[in-house]
Amino acid sequence: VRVLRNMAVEDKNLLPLVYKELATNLMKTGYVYEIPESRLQKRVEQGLPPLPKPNIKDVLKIFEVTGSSRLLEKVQTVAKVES
Amino acid sequence: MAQPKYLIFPGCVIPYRLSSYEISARKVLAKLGVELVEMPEYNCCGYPMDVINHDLMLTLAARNLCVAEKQNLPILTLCNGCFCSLNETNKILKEDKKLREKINSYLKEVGMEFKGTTEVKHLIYVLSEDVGFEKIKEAITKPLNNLRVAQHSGCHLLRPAKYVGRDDPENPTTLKNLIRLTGAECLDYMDETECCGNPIIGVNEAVPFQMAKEKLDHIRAVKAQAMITCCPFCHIMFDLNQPRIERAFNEKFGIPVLHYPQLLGLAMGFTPEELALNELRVKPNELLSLVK
Repeated sequence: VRVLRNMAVEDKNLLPLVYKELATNLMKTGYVYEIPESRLQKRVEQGLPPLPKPNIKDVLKIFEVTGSSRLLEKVQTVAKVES
Repeated sequence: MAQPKYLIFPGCVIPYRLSSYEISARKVLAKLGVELVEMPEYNCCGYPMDVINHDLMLTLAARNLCVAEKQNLPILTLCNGCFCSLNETNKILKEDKKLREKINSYLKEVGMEFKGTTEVKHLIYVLSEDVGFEKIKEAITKPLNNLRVAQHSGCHLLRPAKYVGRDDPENPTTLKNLIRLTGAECLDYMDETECCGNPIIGVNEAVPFQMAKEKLDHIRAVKAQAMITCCPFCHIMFDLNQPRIERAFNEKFGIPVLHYPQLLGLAMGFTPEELALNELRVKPNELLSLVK
């Protein structure tokens, strides 16, 4: 199944929208969700340690060298898949 | 025996939506003598990116493994998805020299190299294997003898069995045995090992809602007072989405869903506030009245 999904992206340029959004967040923040500042502050108020700062430079480089940035640039998204 | 020490990997979704899981896990682990070190500069485990490009998933996971190798510590994950991608990548790259060389050629670009010297464990396996049942038993001060609960281990705590290499995916017992240590009764129910449905909710709501609804039906049928999970995605499906499932099927479940360390923490004498039980969507008021 995974191979078919990868082929859909590589050969058919198709990807569910949600995964493009997760990838965009990951390239921007190092996490697949854009965690709001208020949430990070709440962590500290709740006695949790601050979240470590991800190395965005490394993440972007990994997207580039694996060819994933190129795939994401050309990919078309589909919002939902009917059952 | 030396105090167990791990790099904690909270992942993405727990800091974003489920701090109650992290709070309760840290509380019980500290009391059980487990030392946690914050994992520096970690990134997403890679799991959600496998859909796009397998090499991307492997390299993102391997970068985290390299960080752990540098720290010379094993990784402890709270999330089944993070456990799956980090553990599987670790094992695949240790076994497959050709693939390791390919991924290392990517990692070289960020000044890293996967050597295969670390280990990845989920919270549930840290508790069952490294802390041990005896030590947990000794830490129980308020046995939850009045409670009848049902467990949902989730898929990636157990599968793929080839890489997890623990428990039986068709008849899992680890979480059940950990629940029984608290004094609570762990009930069997129909289709216990079925997926929660969460992995496809981003592209289709109808199917996962139906799957989760059936699970809640089966849990209600055995009269469980709560459901116990150990994965943030399963928890979101059954707790955060429970009101939406109720609306979609015009049914009332009202089944509280606790993270396992919240249940364990109650039996260890922590207060509901200390375990962030107030953060649950389905309020466990009735259940807490049975614990007092």
